[in-house]
Amino acid sequence: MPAPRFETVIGLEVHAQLVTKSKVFCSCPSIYGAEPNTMVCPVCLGLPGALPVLNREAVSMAILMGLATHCRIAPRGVFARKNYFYPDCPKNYQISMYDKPLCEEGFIEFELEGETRRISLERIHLEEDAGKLVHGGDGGSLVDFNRCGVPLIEIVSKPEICSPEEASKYLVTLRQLLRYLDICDGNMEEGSLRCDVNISLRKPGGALGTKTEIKNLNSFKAVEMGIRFEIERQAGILGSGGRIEQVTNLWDSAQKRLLTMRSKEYAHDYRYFPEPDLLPLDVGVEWIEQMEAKLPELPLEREKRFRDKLGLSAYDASVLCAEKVVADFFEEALKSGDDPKQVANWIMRDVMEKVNAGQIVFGRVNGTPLLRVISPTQPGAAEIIPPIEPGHFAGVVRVVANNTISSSAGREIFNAMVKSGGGPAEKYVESLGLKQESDSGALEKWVEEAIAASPDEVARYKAGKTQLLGFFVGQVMKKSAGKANPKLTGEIVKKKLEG
Amino acid sequence: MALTDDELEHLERLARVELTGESREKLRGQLERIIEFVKQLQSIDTTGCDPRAYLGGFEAALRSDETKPCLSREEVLGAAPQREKEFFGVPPVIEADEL
Amino acid sequence: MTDLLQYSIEGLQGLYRGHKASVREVMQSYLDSIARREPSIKAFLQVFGESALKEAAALDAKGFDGRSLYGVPMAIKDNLCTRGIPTTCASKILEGYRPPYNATVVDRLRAAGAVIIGKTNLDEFAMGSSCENSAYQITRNPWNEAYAPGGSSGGSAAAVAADMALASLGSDTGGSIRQPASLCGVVGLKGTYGRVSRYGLVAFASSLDQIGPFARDVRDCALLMEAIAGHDEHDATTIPEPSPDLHSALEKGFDGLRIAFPSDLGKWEMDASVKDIATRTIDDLARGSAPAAGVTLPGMEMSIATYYILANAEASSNLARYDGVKYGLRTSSKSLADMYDETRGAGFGEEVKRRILLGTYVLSSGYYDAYYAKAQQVKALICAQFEELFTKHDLILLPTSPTPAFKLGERLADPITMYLSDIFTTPANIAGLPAISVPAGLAPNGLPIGMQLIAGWGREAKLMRGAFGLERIYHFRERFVRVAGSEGGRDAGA
Repeated sequence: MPAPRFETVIGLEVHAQLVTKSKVFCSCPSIYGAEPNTMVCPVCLGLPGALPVLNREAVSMAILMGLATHCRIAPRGVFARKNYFYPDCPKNYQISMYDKPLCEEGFIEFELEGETRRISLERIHLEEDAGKLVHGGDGGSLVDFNRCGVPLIEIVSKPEICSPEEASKYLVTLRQLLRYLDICDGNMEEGSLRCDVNISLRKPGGALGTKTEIKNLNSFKAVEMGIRFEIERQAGILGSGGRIEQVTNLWDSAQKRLLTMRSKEYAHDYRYFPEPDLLPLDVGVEWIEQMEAKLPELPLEREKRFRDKLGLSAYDASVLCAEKVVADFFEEALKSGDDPKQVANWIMRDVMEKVNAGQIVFGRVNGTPLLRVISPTQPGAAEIIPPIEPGHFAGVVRVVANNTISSSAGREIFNAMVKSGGGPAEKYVESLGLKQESDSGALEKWVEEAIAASPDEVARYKAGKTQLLGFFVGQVMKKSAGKANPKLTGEIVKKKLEG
Repeated sequence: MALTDDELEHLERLARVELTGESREKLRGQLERIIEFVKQLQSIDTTGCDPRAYLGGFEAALRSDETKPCLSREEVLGAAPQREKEFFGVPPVIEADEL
Repeated sequence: MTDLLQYSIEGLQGLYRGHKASVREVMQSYLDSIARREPSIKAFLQVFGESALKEAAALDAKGFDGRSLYGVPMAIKDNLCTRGIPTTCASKILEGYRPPYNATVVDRLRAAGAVIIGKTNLDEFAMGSSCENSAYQITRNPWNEAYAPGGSSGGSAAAVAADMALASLGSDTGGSIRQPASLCGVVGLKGTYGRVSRYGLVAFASSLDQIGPFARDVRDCALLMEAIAGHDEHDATTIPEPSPDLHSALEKGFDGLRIAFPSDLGKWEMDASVKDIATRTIDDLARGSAPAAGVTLPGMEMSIATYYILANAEASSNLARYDGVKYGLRTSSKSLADMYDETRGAGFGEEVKRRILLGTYVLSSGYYDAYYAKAQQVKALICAQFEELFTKHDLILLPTSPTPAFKLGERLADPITMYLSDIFTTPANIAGLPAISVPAGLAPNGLPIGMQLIAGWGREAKLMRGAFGLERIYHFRERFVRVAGSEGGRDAGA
């Protein structure tokens, strides 16, 4: 008998680590991967007598995210203590925000299966991260407080997400936005982006069901999987007439399963009260205007501009805009005046192939986007090998587009740049001797030789096998040691064979 | 106003403060008296002024995003009741049961 | 040279400047005084004999340099962090704990040339009014050792009263400087909330705590406050404006200041001797240049309850960090939950536990609105009422404590009786206003009684002037103080 159909109701709580230099309430460096317990001070260690002082830059970044998600920036934000005991929490309270968050009532939009979906945001607020617990050898646990005090923004969606796919797309979009704003690097594996899921099932049109929470989802895949598991689990219980308990589940990434947290240890009365060590934060109009001026062109707008002004397809626009540095590189390259479609193709095909192979990586120097060359045999070689600048790359596109060289020769030049560094394309054309022969006289001579040497193929071509054009072009390429312009050659062969 | 065993236990759990025996009963009685005493506030008519009025109305102090030297690892771990090399050791934190 | 104990701060500096005494000699005098009186008074948890003498020698080598507290022997309450030196807050849970940093006020004292001679006893985590809640020792009132010195800064008050330090620092959350000052016959000052940095003060109630000085006279108190006051980048609640000069205009006294006193003083329970001194002060003022007006004091009815809700709520959160993980006491326990419970159970005294539980209660779900939120609103109301009052008056005069010192052990049975002794002091904490206790006279049993002044927000300068005026009316030191080992009872100032 088929199980009753349920509607899934999902809300996501995303924690994003902000890329400030120092922590949110103290001047310790906010660095990933440092030696344990070396990046702490009395404040983030929660020593007796220490006091928090708010990092202005963290607030600016939070405001930026609020503006980018169309939130209302609260005129007064109030920090609050969230009280609970846990070893990674040195004060046994976390400084967060409660009923007066920094941003409220925004939204995030994305495309899903051809439709535009809009998910509302409940709020965005600023808070401090906790330390890290690792399992000790003897069964105990070990605490590293380095991460304590790193600034986080918590982005809470309204429970409007309906499926695992939608949750994933929401998360992808959120991450893209954070990276566009340069406020978070969105690395789920390293924990700079974390996602907790609240999920409940209900009969279509019925009342909201009891929600459960899933924590510790450390990848996009895990988010989708974890949600699917939980939907199945809840559906199974409801389907057999049971009741859902309000539990928190931990995602076990090693075993790909859900584990229930022991609810006894977590009496969820956080006893929030306003943080007396921090004054209320009055974000004035000036500050908001300053941050509005700092907003970059957001992904959706940029994609639209690529479609409307540059004539790119929706697919191409979305691929190029997925990462801001790629889109920036693309637009820098365009400044040399080449055809946007050609430049786009080159990036999406040739550049991306090399990026995926780990040979080059998009980066920036002084804000200028470029491609850094990675040499697997020479660590640190990225420093010595000159990067491929947008201009160099545009040069390759151009010398192919204006027929100075063939497209395969173009690929050869790009490969050479990927090995030994960027430079003006013309230099490579010369040094590699790739200038293709486009003189019709020379080409005609080779074509006639090729035709004369292969009478059978001529006959079959004339009988209808026109794909043999490629054979003749190939013969000419052999004779010319690859220098013949294949396109022109093909035209000449056609003319000679068809008369 | 009586503080039930459950209520007292709940408070103890939230506060992670353990009371035992005679001391516990004495404390319960004293707590009850104090709670009764502070209840008198509820009869006061209050219209909200800013609860932060004692602060003098100046603006929130903010820091610029600059780093300063941290404590040395010795300073951090030196006072640790249980030190495990570069970490603080704690009894096992058992989080979850299998679903 | 026992008469070295007689000198005030400026008196001492006169001696230094004129090469009439060395810092080392002065320090030795105070250490000798400690040797004589400390065994029975027990004001100190630690005495820094050797290091104080070393520091003194170093100061002597450099010579007098005009710094405001050069060569002044000072004691500080053991809830102020001192780098590398145990800071216990008189609790077992911090036994042996050595902070890796100095409280800002400690740095400022040292920058001003003061020598720290020891750390004084207090009620555990500053919770109490008698010093009897210390986990280590009981401090006795130097005026009569069967009596309490008051609290929570009882050690700091007693040290100054017994001439074991020329001055000291304490902290005041609900009266913990002013009350022991009154009970020990010394001057005790709490500034406007935010005037002195709390960085390095082990927190009890963050929105109420303030560090302040004990001294023999108002002038010394002013000099001390000037040395420690002022904005600190480490404490976001400090007042950004520069702190006022407090000592230059002292001589003006009451000139031009409008003074008020509670017209309904009669309805508050207090010792007859306290009432008597209060009444006589008001009469003296009336006869003198500053007649006082009777007013209804804001906050009197509600201040204790408001204070106990707010202070204990914040304390329950501030004291959560003492869990055995990072520092201090840890009991050996099998599980994490046990470690928390057993460590805190063993490490905290009864009063601390009581207040943590009360604080937890008033913050807990279902009770927050009726207790904590309500108390915040009452606090706002009290602030507004004081603000109104201070548009028409400059100073409020009232007793510091309803009674002189009580016998040790007398108040322990019922916590509410203990709490009620804070009735005159808590309003100034709740409203964040500067307040001072000045020794006024003696009760028939020979124990001191202080009178308190409260000023408007930020108005420490007026407060000190008023205190100076009171000092001139009372002549307390001239009449009652025999400086230990000296010939007469006179303060041979500069």
